[in-house]
Parts: sequence; structure tokens; C-alpha cells
Amino acid sequence: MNKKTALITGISGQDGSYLAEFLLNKNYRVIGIERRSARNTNWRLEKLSILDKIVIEDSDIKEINNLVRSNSDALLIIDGAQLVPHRKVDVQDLGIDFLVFSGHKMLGPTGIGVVWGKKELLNSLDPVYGGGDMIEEVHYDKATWAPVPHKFEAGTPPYVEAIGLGAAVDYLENLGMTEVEKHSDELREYGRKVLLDIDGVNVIHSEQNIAGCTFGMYVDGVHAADLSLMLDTHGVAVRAGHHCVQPFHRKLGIDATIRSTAYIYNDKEDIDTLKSALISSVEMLR
Amino acid sequence: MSIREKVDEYKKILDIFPNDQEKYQYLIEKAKENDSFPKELRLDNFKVNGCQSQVWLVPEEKEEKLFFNSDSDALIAKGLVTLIASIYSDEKAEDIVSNEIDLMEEFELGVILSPARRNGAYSMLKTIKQYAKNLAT
Repeated sequence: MNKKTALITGISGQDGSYLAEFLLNKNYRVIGIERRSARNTNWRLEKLSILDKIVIEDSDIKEINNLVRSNSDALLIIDGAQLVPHRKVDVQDLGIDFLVFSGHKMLGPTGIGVVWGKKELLNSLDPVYGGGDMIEEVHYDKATWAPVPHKFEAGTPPYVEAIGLGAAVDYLENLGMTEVEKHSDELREYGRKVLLDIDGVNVIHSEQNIAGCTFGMYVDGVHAADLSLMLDTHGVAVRAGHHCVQPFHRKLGIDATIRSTAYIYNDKEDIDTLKSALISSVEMLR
Repeated sequence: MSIREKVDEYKKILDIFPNDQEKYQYLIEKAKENDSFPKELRLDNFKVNGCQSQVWLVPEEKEEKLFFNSDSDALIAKGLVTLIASIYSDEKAEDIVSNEIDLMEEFELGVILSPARRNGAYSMLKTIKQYAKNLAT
């Protein structure tokens, strides 16, 4: 019997790697797309011991888009929550159908995000919610909808959040996304150098040229919850927990990790502070 | 010593420490002193739900009084549960049930613990009260 084939676009990511493992166990043939910007980040697949069972195609969003267009009539929706804050994104050039991202990950307020879609596709969709300002005409037996985007924005809009997000976008645009990207890259490279040589600290993330500057870490014999509280007393904020990837933590044989993320408001001095806070916190907790 | 007296005693100790870091250090010491919890009692039915780390509370009744043995895989949570358990140990179930002292307020734990950890501390208190309630009725 021919094996079913699955194409996983985010093969090196948290969900992609576990989906690959799951489908391989179901006897699928798995082809994984590795984004060119995330090259050499296959450590999850290595840890799951499935790297040699997968065909990896080197690609980027534009090529994935071309691949989808030439093989199917599927729509391509890009979750850009981690991409848009760090990289210049040109939806026209990429040729994708939809792009979604969150405001709070790019200096904006919480509770607001962006759905960008091709106008003809948005026109063809029905509204999700009913409310003020989303109708054109209402009859007893039918209603017609206001033009895009109003038909998707029922009721009182979150204008405070929208103005805040607009200001965040203006701020990033003024800095220039190329500069934002350069800053993240520099910090990540510096962070790798500084954090990788702390005795007892295991860095399990940020191998290569991935978007942004994020480090997952754990310390043998020290609980991540304790570590985050101690780091907090040094003015260092990290997230502690399983970060919604319990299967991965189970594979590592640990309950939790800490995750530290830097952005445009951080500099190399902050990474030095993280290092000294880590050393002193670990000393206290051991 | 009554529950009130024990709370006042701990309040005095915690007030000595000028900052969060030293308060945590005290909790870490409390945790390290508590090495009496048998590992085989790390069972799901003794687990306190709603904590960021794993926390276990085991009740024991001796001469009409309740005693609590506690453990956690994280040090600061273990220090906290050790402190809470010692306040309510060696007390009658009905005294625990009728006691209305708000430990979070008394120790100002809300200030040093994040909302998620505060919920964990509430769960520890709720578990102790529930054990006492089951025994008192």
C-alpha cells in the first residue's frame, strides 16, 4: 500500500516536530519544509530521533507559496506573530493569502492583532460577529454587509488599542525593520557567546539565524519556578514553565524551563545582567 | 502555641528581611530544613492543584489533632508550604476550620508572589482547610 504523504511547513518548530513524530508513527511519509531563515534549527527533530526519517526541503515563505500555488488551490495563511516584530514583511512580494499577527509582541497593547487578507478573499467571507456598523441594509428576511473591513468590525471598536498599535507600528517603521533585525541578530549572537559558557546552565534554543532573540534554559537540580523568582529579585524578567510544549519537556526529562527574550529595548549590558543574575541565583538555589 | 501566635511569630521573622531576595532565602532555608517527607508519598492524591511546581500535602491525625507533612520539587514553593503546614499542624480540625486569618494578607505574600504563584499559595491553604473540614464533620 502506498504511504500517505504529509507536508509540514514548520518542521523545525515545536508543533511541526511533534506532528512529524505523530505522523511517522501513523506510517506517513513526512516531507518537512525548513525555512531558509531558520536553517540548522533541527535540534528538536534530532532529540526526537526522527531527523533521518524525514525529507527536509530548504525553502522560504515565497517558495512555499509557489509550491502551494502550483500543486493545489489551498489558501496560504501565515502566522506572523513571531515574524512581523522582527523582520520586514512584504505581503505583496510573498504572494500569500493571509497574514496574522499580535499587537503585544511588537510593542503594541494587548487585546489587539491584525488579520491582513487579500481583498477579494475578505469580500467573499461572511462576518463572524453581528453588531453596530457592520451592516449595509437590514430587512426582515435578509441583510447585506458593509464593505471590508467594516463587516468584520462589529460594535464599538477597540479604538484605544488600535491607536496604541498604530503608534507601535509607526515607532518600528521609524526605527526601520532592517535596523530592528540587525539589533536582534547582534544581541542573539552576543547572548549565545555569553550564556553558553555559564557553568551548569543548559541553553536549549537559538542555534542559528532564527527571527528574534530568545533563549530557553534550564539548570540541573534547580527548578525553573525558583530560578525565575530569584532572577526577578535582580530585576530580570523571564517566563518559567512548560511554555505549552509539555511533550518536549517530557522528552528532556524536566518539568519546566525559563525563557528569556530580548527585543529593541534591550542591549548587551542587559545580557550581561542576565548572566550575573543567573550565576548568583543558581548559587543561592543549589 | 495557637494559630494566631504562630502567625505573629512568622510575621516577626519575615519583617526582619528588608527585601524579597532575603525573604526567598529564608523560605529556601525552611525548605532545606524540611527533609522528612518520604518520597513514596509523592502521590497524585496528595498533590495540591493549581501550583506552578509540584506540591504535596499529607495530613495525619494524632490524638485528635491534625499534622501536615509537605513537599515540593521547587525550593521556594517548598519553603512556603513548609511554613503554612507548620502553622496549621498540631491543631484541632475545628480550630483550623473556624480560623479566619488571611495568611496572604498577614505575610504580604501578594506583594512578593506573582498572581499564578499567589493562586498556588491559596490552593495550599484551601487544601489544608478542606482536610480539616472533612475531619471536623
